[in-house]
Amino acid sequence: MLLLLVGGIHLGLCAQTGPAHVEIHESEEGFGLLLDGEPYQILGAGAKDHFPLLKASGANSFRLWSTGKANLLDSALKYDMTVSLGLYVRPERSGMDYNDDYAVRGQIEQLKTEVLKYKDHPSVLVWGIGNEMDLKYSNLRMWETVEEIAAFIHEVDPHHPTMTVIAGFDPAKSHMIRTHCPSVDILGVNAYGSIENLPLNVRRFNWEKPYIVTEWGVNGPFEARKTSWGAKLEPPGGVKAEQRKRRYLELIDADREQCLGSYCFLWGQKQESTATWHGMFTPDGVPTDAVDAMAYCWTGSWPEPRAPSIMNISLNGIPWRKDHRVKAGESAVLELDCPLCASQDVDMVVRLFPESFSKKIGGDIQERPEEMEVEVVSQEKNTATFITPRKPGAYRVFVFAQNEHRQVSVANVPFLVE
Amino acid sequence: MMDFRLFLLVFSVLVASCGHLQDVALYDEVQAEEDPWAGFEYTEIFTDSDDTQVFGLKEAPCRSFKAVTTNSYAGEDHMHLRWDKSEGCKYVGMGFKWRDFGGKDLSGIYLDGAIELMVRVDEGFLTKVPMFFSLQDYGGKRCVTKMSILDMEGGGIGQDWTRVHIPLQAFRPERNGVNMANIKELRIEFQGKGDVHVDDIRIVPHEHHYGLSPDASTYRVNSLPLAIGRGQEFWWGINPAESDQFSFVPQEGGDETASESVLADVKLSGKKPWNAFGFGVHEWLGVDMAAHHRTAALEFRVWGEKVPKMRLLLLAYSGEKRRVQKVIHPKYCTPVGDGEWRVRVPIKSIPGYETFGWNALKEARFTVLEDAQFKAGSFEVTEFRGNPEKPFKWKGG
Repeated sequence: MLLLLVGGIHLGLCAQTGPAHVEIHESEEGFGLLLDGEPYQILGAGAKDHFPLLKASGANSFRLWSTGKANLLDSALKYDMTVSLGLYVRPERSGMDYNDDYAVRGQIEQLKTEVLKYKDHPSVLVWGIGNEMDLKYSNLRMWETVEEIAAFIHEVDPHHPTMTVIAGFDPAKSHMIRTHCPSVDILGVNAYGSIENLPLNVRRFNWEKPYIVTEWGVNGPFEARKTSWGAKLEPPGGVKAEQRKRRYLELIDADREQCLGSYCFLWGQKQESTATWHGMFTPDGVPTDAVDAMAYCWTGSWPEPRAPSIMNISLNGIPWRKDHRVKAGESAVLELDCPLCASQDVDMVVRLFPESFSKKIGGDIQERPEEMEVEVVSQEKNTATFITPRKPGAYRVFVFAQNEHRQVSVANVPFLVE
Repeated sequence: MMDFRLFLLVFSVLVASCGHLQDVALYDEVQAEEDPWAGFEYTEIFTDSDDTQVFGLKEAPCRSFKAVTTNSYAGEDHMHLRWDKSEGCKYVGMGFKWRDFGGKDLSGIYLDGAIELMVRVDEGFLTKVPMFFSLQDYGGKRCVTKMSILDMEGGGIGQDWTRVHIPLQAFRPERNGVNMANIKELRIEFQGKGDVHVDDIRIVPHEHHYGLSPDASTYRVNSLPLAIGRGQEFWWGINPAESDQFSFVPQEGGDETASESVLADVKLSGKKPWNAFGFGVHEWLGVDMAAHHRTAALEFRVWGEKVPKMRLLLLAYSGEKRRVQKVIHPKYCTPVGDGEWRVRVPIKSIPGYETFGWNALKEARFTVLEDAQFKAGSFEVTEFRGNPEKPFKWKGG
């Protein structure tokens, strides 16, 4: 009764337009989504901000990981976009015990109220049940929760398909979802390095329903090579942008048979080993060259003007992929390879941070290290000389190459002061 | 007459002896159980800020915890709690001294007790609030839980005072070794953002109808051999609609307990060849063979001209190492008949086996590394102690 009341209250708020009707259509060509009867390929991003640029870049949808930001459903409506709306299902690694009947039942009943609250919002495209609950999990009962929520959605919401989102795909997860979660309509896969084999693995692991790549982008910090002192090597912005473009065109867009579309990660900014690894915007909200790459993927043409795009960075003549050891308090030279910078008025800003060695996983929140003062002694178009810290330790120096249109490309080099 | 006197004598003796009979109870006497609530002195946690002390009320940009007198549920005032962790606080919390930090014994009331509190909000209707309740013992250990929709009267918190129960069992003190016989304090810790009113916090009797379900994710191996790879639904890599590199061989005689067999016709071509198959070791459960792995081998049969170059990969749900692999060396392949080979890979020969999660083995995966035609089957984990000729004896024995 109470659930109906909650749903009823919200129904009133959404009565102006009502829910969109979304269904999965299967034909000889494969699977596709129909939004109010029209074919709909998801051109999406994980986003909580920068919606005008998202729309202008050609996207039509964004993903929310939970209902905590459900007010953004209205933003989607404003910009004529849809939302993959997440229901936060606690992963085991957060302390959830799926043998604890009280915790399990409480979570399910609470999530049911959220389904009723938001199911009639016109921006909802699909339900995303959980996010990476399978990451380092061991209690297979977790799938019972996913199924119960998915079955409940089908009971009360005839308009939106259900999806569960996992961290990478493997045959065990394929089996569990196929057999324990028959009410799940779509597989959502977060795939970084593993996206290279995702279309193949979907077929090898006998997944016969459609899938959405719910997070993808450049290889994650957890997949990156490290220096000898454990600092992760982040490719320069231009290399990452190029990798995004190739992955979209060759892997996501190429699999129209089973893939309903994707949500690139991350249309915004977050700290994950560094402040720039996954984010397509800087912490100050400036769009990077990754935004241009996604605009190309979604529209087939490059935006104007183009952002700078750093393809290589070296410290004291040694490229970013190598270890860099320097002496304390000495001058060190950063050099960029940025072909797109040549035709633009580009400012180069050097910023210095202590190295972050967070062991958090699965997108869990990490703390950003405090920025340090850096003494830049000379600077030219593609080079900058700075003084290394006087205290021994692990550091990371960033270069932000920003043009007059407030577009930027970022590269960094971890180094050890001995 | 004589008989009558004899009867009287016997009767008199019997009656007289009754006084010497011991009373014997038909049932053991039932002692009246001591009511654990009768002597429980720590019922009241918060009523008024004057009477029941609260700590952690210092103002900060990310929080405002104040005692306010308007619209209280009981007593003179109640706590109005407002917080926003995004305003720069790493920790937002407050607590109750609860009888001046005296050590409180909750062990007797643990099974049928709950923290009861009254909660309301100024606007909206909440089914969850990002506030967590922690009990801390005098050993510094703490256990945490939160308000559940299951124990919010009316299924959520609105603008009228709502009674909420937090069963003591929900704290799961056993998980962190918290001593419920010596609890120091109750804290409320906050995440995200929120604005609630709280009043009248106390310990009350409460029936808790939930328990712990037994582990259903593990299959324990009690003895070897263990047939593995049974049931086509637990295999992957065999998908005739997509590839003809692998196919199942129909079971002879319909033996459902036997391992599946696979027919391979592998041609390595293209950037991403379809050259791998695998199966859940036991129905995709975590297989606990921690007691056996040191004296075991993974064994299977191959039918063909030779055993092709293959890589074996084992995966686990947990463990310090969750994947180990090995290219199968020809020395592990023994001809046992016309075109039939026994392949036996000792577990101890697999690099990294020491730290692999043998209590949660998940999958066996085979990657064929050259063009090959063969049949493979009879997959099992067998006892193996190092001597290929005498697998059940210690090497050299």
